[in-house]
Amino acid sequence: MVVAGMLPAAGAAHALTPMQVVQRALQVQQQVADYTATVTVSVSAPNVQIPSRTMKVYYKRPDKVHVESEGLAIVPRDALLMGNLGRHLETNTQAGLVGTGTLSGRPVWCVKLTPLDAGPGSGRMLCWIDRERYLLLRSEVWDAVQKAMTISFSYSLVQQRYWMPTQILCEFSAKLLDGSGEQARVTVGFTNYRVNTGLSDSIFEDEG
Amino acid sequence: MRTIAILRTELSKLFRQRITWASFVVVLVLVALITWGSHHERDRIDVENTLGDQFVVAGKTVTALFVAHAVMQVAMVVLIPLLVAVVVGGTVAGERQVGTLRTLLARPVSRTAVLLSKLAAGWSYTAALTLALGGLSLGLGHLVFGWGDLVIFRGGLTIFDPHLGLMRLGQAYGLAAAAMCTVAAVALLASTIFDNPMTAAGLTVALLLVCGIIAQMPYFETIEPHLITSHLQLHREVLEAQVNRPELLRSAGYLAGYTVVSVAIAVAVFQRRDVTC
Repeated sequence: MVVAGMLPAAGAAHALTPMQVVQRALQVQQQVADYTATVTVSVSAPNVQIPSRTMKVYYKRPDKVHVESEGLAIVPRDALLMGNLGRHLETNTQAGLVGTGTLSGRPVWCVKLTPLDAGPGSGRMLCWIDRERYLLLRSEVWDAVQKAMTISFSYSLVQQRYWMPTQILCEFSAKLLDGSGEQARVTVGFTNYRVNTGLSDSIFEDEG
Repeated sequence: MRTIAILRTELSKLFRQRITWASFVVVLVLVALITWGSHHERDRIDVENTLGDQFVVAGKTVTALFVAHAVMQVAMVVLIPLLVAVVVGGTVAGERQVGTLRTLLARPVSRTAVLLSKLAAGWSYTAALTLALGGLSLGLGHLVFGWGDLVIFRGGLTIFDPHLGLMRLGQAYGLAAAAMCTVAAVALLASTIFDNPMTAAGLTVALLLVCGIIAQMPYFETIEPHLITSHLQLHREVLEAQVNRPELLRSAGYLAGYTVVSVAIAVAVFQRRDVTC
């Protein structure tokens, strides 16, 4: 994905405030009360060797996830929660427009979310939101000084109604996995979506 | 035919000793303890707890293969070499101590054949003990945790699917058994030199410990690659995602060299040994 033609915030003219843009993106996500999907995960990191895994994922709003996998599988939580925008909004209550531009051919707003009492050591999140579909196309989660995780989303229309991620690329420091400071990439592919089928809470009972 | 008869006798003698069976019991106890520990601590061992809540982890970390690997990591450092040294170290020195060696050598067979039969019996025991370790840990691990991936935390994270994991673990146990056969050869050499089986076993273990200590000292770093202890853990090579074949062959070469030299010296010493007193 390439960000092209990003314009400064001052040059962008639109009716919505940055917080309203993020709220609209969240509303689009909240149309999905639950989903099941077949998910394929492949991990690439310097000292990590994990075979590509296919699993069945169950999601229920706001943040319930249940994964059925024959083998051990590791998936970034935000990837299964479609960016986990709701939780990031809980912790980051200020929104500022960074700029507008295009991302992978789509017109986007780039919005920065920060905590209300943001200081120099505070975490923050950058969101690239589709200006026409209000879809989260990319997010960057930053801790105090460095980027913790970047997630890029590709979508397709499911059941002719819901824009659902079909491929998600997560990039993060491999420190968590192998102790090195190098970059790890997790590619998550989604197929066989079934959206809003009314999943029972009992499916998620074993999840902490 | 005589050689086969001697070998059969040596195997029979070795596997009738209490210490031989006691070592299998020790292995069983170790496997049971590690299985219990893995069960007790499995929440702490779990990958999910290592990674934190940024990740969703599905599937089991602790499985039969995990237990078999954990047992191997612990046992191959001291316990199995110690048991091999005690049992094989007593094969010649023990008979000399109780006075049966003279009777044995009075038979019309060469001393070399007698010694090589003892070596073959010692290697059979070594292989049986190592493979029993693997078999028991897989069996007990399967009963408690079931089947699943082989998860290895060493300088990163490696996950083998069950089929590949079992294959790699099988290779690792095979290589570990081969490495322990080198320890058996050294123990046999000590057994030909010393009259007391405990001295032979003790000095074999002492040699391994001294080599291990030397390997940790920076001013011995030039000899460290040539020490026996630097190659005894060659089974670890096949548990890496990418097997380092040159390193594996190098270690195998060193262990073969140590074995050949130990056996050659043992034969030479045994040929010249006075067993009349």
